[in-house]
Amino acid sequence: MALAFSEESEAKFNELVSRYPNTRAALLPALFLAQEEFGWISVEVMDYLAERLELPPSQVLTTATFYTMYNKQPVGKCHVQVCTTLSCAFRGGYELLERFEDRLGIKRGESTPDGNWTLTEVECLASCGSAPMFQLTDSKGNMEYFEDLDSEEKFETVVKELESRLPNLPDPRDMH
Amino acid sequence: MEELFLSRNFKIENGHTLPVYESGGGYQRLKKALNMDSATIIDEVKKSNLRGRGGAGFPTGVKWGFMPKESELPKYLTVNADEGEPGTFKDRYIMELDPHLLIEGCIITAWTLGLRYGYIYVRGELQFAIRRLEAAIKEAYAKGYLGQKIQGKDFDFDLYVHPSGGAYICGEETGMIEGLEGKPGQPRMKPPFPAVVGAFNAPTLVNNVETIAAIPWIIERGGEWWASMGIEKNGGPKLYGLSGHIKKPGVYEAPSGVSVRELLEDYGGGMLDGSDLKGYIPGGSSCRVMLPDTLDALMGFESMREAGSSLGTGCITFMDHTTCMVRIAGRLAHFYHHESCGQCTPCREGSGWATKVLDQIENGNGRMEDLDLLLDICDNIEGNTICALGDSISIPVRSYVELFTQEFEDHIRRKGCPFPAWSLRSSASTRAEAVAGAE
Amino acid sequence: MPKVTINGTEIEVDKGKSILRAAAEAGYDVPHFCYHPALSAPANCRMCLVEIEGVPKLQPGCYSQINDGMVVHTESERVVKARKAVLEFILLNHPVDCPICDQAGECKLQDYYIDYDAQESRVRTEKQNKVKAYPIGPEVVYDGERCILCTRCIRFCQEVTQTDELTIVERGDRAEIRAFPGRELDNNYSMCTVDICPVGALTARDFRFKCRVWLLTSTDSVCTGCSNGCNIHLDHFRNEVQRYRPRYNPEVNDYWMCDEGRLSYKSVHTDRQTEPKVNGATVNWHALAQAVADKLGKVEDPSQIALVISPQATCEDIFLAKRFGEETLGGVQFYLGGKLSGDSDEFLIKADKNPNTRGIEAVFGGTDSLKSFDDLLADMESGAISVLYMSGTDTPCDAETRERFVGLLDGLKLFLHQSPHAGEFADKAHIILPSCTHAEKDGTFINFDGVAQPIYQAFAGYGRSIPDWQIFLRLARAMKKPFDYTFLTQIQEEMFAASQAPEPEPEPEPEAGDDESSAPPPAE
Repeated sequence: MALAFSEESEAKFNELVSRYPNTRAALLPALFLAQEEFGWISVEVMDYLAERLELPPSQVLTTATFYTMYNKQPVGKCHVQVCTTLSCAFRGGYELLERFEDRLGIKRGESTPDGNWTLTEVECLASCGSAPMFQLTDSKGNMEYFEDLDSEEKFETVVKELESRLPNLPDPRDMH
Repeated sequence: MEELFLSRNFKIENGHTLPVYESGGGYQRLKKALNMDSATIIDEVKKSNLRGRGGAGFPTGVKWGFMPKESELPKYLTVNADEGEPGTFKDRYIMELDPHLLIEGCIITAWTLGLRYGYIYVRGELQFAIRRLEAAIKEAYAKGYLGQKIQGKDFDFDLYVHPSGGAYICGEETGMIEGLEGKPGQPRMKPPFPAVVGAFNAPTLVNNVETIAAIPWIIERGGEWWASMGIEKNGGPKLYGLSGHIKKPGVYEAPSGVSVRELLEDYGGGMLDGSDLKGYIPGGSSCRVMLPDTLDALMGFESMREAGSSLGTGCITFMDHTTCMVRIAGRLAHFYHHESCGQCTPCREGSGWATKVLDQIENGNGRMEDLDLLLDICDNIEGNTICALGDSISIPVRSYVELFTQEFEDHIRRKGCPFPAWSLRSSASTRAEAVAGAE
Repeated sequence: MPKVTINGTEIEVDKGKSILRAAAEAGYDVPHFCYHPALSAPANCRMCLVEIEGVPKLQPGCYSQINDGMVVHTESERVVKARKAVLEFILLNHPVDCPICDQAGECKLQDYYIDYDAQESRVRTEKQNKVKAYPIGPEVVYDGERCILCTRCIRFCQEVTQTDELTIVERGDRAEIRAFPGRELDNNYSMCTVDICPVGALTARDFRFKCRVWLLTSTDSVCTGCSNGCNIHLDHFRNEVQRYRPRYNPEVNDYWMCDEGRLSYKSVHTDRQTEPKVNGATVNWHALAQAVADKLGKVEDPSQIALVISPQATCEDIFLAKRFGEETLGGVQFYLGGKLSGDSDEFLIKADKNPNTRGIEAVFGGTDSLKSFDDLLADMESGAISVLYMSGTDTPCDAETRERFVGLLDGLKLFLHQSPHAGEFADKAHIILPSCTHAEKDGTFINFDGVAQPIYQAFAGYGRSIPDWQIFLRLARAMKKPFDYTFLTQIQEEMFAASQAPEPEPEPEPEAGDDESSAPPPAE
């Protein structure tokens, strides 16, 4: 099935394109928009954006693969990104990562088979004063920081909160 | 500080909204500026001793002076909000808690230099900041602060938020411009500089968030007033992000030229109980690491250079006696390796090599000749790359090897790391053991 | 003009010239990988770093422009150290698989390593694994581990063919070259990326593992694929063409040639007829010439003889064919042979698939005195032609017409076939005169634009094949009307005496910094 933006995304897309003197400049925000709509940035999605922005597909490919936030493979409904750069490492970033590994039963870089979770170790998220922390990106494209997670209790509260969100989130694998 | 400027609205309820911002005098500075001419404003900025707050410390007024007056293409403002240097987290607070201060600064800057379009280039991870900025921009449009014929003047300026896709290198100004143009953030060769050929081939001003946020205050109270809150050549209050093994991590506003000791003790609450300061990184992880005997150094560009490092972003990471400096060097090298754009050879290959060599030492597989090799790798990267990311790996790595040589040699001799693993040591319950283990 | 001092040599150079080019003018080669004279300069390899007095950091010579009074050092201690460092960095993740790499022997990395690095490896860490033998296009294979990410191939596709197939994926030392998934490096010039790849990352599927390059001998020649006449290096080993490579000529083909032309070398070795034959019996050239003289001498009305002139032949061959027809036989009918027109593009590929149509025009003073191939068929059908002297196996007609033509051959009284290739004609010909391909003889082609270009003999004629012009000399002698020539140069002198300069154009000096595209392999 050929991809197409929903009416709402289409409007956003057109507004994005209008912000710049050329279409290529809209590529970064357009990739986010597409990821929100289609769950992940597949080859089809890149092709679609190339067509919509009138760019050679290779230009979309190089940009999409250069930046880390575009998922070239489907991730879980909740994409947990734990920072382990210096300030977080000092305050328990690795421990937080290991807590997630234990709790979710996966290693960093992996996804749970049910498609609910993906766990990633990421670099500095500019939250050094509130370490340790992680960023959540859900399959609707919402991003949220969870900070100061320096105890088991805080960790548990956050995980329970996220678990309660899971039923309302689409599985990115099914989004296109 | 008794009166706050850059962080004034941080703790005020709804400080990010237009009504609250206006009630505190917001956008009055814009109105004032619109009745000043360009040369007067640039002069005030020069007098203020405001220096680029993204880390390079270039005098803002001088940079503004480089912008051509006439241009066939519309001129651009790009605000560098791609805050990604490990240890640095100050701009995020401005965007999230006082977006209008930044926006007002943008409009005044555009008025001063005749800039037609502005893009705030925010790292994509900071979605909350992006949402706050977009809401604030909408409010500003509604009130006629943005758009066409701003405040009845012959002055059009449109401002947008541009989200990055996740790449530290876009904090480099030309890498950022590439990202703005939808390309991989591979820095450009200079010259030409952005002031001549920048975004979309047009003259482009690139300033950091905090730099632009200072502009409304300089307009309100004058350049000399701003300069007075600082030391020679370093003017004005500044945001300092403190993190690491301290009691009260966070972002604090203090004058330029405050001492590291003051920041640590008066603002950061001192080191954690049971922690002794082993070293600190003064302004983001690309700066040379400093030893505790430099605590009285002043946070200014020249003074920090004299003390053996650099001011950078002014966000300090404090490290206590349980910190393994080999591991830190390796972790930082890993970061820069991960973030190297891969465009030019020394940085692309050297960053990975240094990381692997450091990991080898940390994991007990080091050799004494690795220390010379590391220094050689650093020498061979530094200065030979298109942008400063190459220097960002070689400068800190060299400093750890030089200042903590003994520790590196111990790792090699003992075939391993004597310090406790990171994952075990940080929580309250294991902390005591960890500290004990290090002693 | 601005003056610069390079390694102590003061020279004047044009404003805006890069240091690398200025240095070349002063006689100093600055090593480089990513820079190519026909492409933009991204300055990413850092191999060409040079020292400029008064500038604290080393600067890339390919990107930095000269200024009046600039003092540059391209061989100073700092520069040499930086070069060595770049090579060490490049080799860090390089597989160093020269023994099995096709580029070995013409590899810049290899050459520069010998020139500037030549130290024992200090690398004790694992190398990055990347894609091997990846089919990046129908004609090109990619090795990610050998790739030094200079982006020449990408820029070629962006700036020369403007087809944008290739790009970089991922970043840092994980980066590799790729085409968009499901697409390929598939344009008419894709194999040029192999030429400009400074290392063994891009190899030609056709040439892979075929021959070590140091065994090759290179002969300057011209591609016969179409009338553009792209200048080539004809690389051969043991009397076989192994490959063509474009030879720099800014007037004709710059650094490039099309894939189809490049692979057209294969025809040199296929379907060859190598023995002179009379009525199926192999004879020597002397006996053959006698037989031909005998048979042609008996033709009462020379206008019954059709002589097909091929624009695949050289000017010298055509010149002799004309004289043979007009003077030796007298009053024969000339017909125009050669290949049917084909595809063309805006760049190098021309519709006229014959390398020397303009040569026929030059020799015959236009083509009015030659009848068309359609006329030939008509004349054969009507019986106006009973003797056919056919040169080459090409026919400028569609398959159906060709079939009809082949059918008509049976009705001929005498059919002489002079060609390197047998085609469908060998069985029908009464006389077979095996001639040489362009690889086996000297001569001149005139391209579509009127540029006369020499070709040179790479190796001896296959079997007993000889050049067309020599065949005509032999036949004329056998018919007791010998031409006054022994050497090709004599023909050339006479041919060009009245019209164009006989001297074929000398090869233009390559641009500064061009060293890979026109350099012969080291064996030569």
